[in-house]
Amino acid sequence: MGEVSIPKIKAGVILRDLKIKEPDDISIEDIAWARGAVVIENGLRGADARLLYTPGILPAIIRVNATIPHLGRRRFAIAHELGHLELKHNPGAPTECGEKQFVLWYKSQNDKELEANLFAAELLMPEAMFRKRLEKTVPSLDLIEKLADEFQTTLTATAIRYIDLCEEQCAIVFSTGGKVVWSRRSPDFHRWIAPGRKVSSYSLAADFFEGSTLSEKVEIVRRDAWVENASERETIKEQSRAMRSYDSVLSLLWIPYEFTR
Amino acid sequence: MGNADDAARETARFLDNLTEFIAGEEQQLDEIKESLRAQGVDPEESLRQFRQTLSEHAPTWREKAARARADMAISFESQKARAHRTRTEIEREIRETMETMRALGAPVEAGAYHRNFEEARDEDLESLLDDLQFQRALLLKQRDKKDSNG
Repeated sequence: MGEVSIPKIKAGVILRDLKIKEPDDISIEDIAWARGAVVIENGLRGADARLLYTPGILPAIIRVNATIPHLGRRRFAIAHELGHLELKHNPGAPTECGEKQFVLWYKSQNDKELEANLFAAELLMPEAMFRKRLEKTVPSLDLIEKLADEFQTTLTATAIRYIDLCEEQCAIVFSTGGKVVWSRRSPDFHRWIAPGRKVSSYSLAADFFEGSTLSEKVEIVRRDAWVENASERETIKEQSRAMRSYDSVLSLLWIPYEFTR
Repeated sequence: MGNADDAARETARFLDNLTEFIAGEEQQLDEIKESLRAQGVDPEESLRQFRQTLSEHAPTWREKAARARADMAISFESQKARAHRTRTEIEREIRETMETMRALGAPVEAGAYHRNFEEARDEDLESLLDDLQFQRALLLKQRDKKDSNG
């Protein structure tokens, strides 16, 4: 089961109240309106989205950057701002509007940012709907891409959701410039993937950073290419996708149970 | 097909009678019912069908939301003042607008959240001012409504 949290409960209540049962029904602008916020898609360049609200005055205003290239990122940004509104986060007021003050003000919001992300993930990829689609499937980026397409979410956000809800030993790794930046492991994946670690030449992802063609298939590689303290004989399945505009690679790692016997 | 036609005819007849009732002289409820029955219409059944027809054709929450959002976008655009302002002027106006809102009794100060914030560009500050002014207008409207209700 996914972890129970206030953001998740709040999102669940909204989905239930609006009788949303399928991904197609998750029209984020309409949901925002139904919850007291109007979405306006212009007037913002320096951030993906901004929520302005004064308690007691409706509607609150969610501005979205019109230049966001991906629909999934746009939807996530709106859902994230709606999360702040639903969770009654109080950011305090911008007493000065200078650059420095804005940056300091923004950077002090980390815990609340995390909660708003949890809310957005549950609202856009509700656990029950998502889980149903994982039945009788095997881990692959093809599956995650299909889910991203159906839920209209980004590949990265969907991959994280997948890792949180799948019942396999999986991990997702994001590497940039030949180094691991972050990873997320499923509850059953107990091996450590160190951030900052150089992407091993035994991995598929290394092909991208070495300028070769990156295979899009699931392939078996040495486990020590990715995880700490693995022996040379142990193996792991890897599938990677290049994210060229970020000079990055998103890799799905999977240890099938037969590999651990 | 036949049943659907009958139901539609009966509903139409009921609506005609209802319109006549609303537009005509005041009558007692029992008299209305009696009059409908005399015309071969079962008032209770017709009312049930009428409600059902209404609910079948009632807009969904998404349709209602989409319509309301479009209306809001129009009224929002019409609120905007478009004269060119320098960054310092915009910043001053933001502070003034927030001051006014505070003076108008806004429960707490307006707050804003950003997603993936990088920098506050002039355009961002302008839209922040627009949003604050829009909220101030709503606050004024709320206050006027309260005043007129005594």
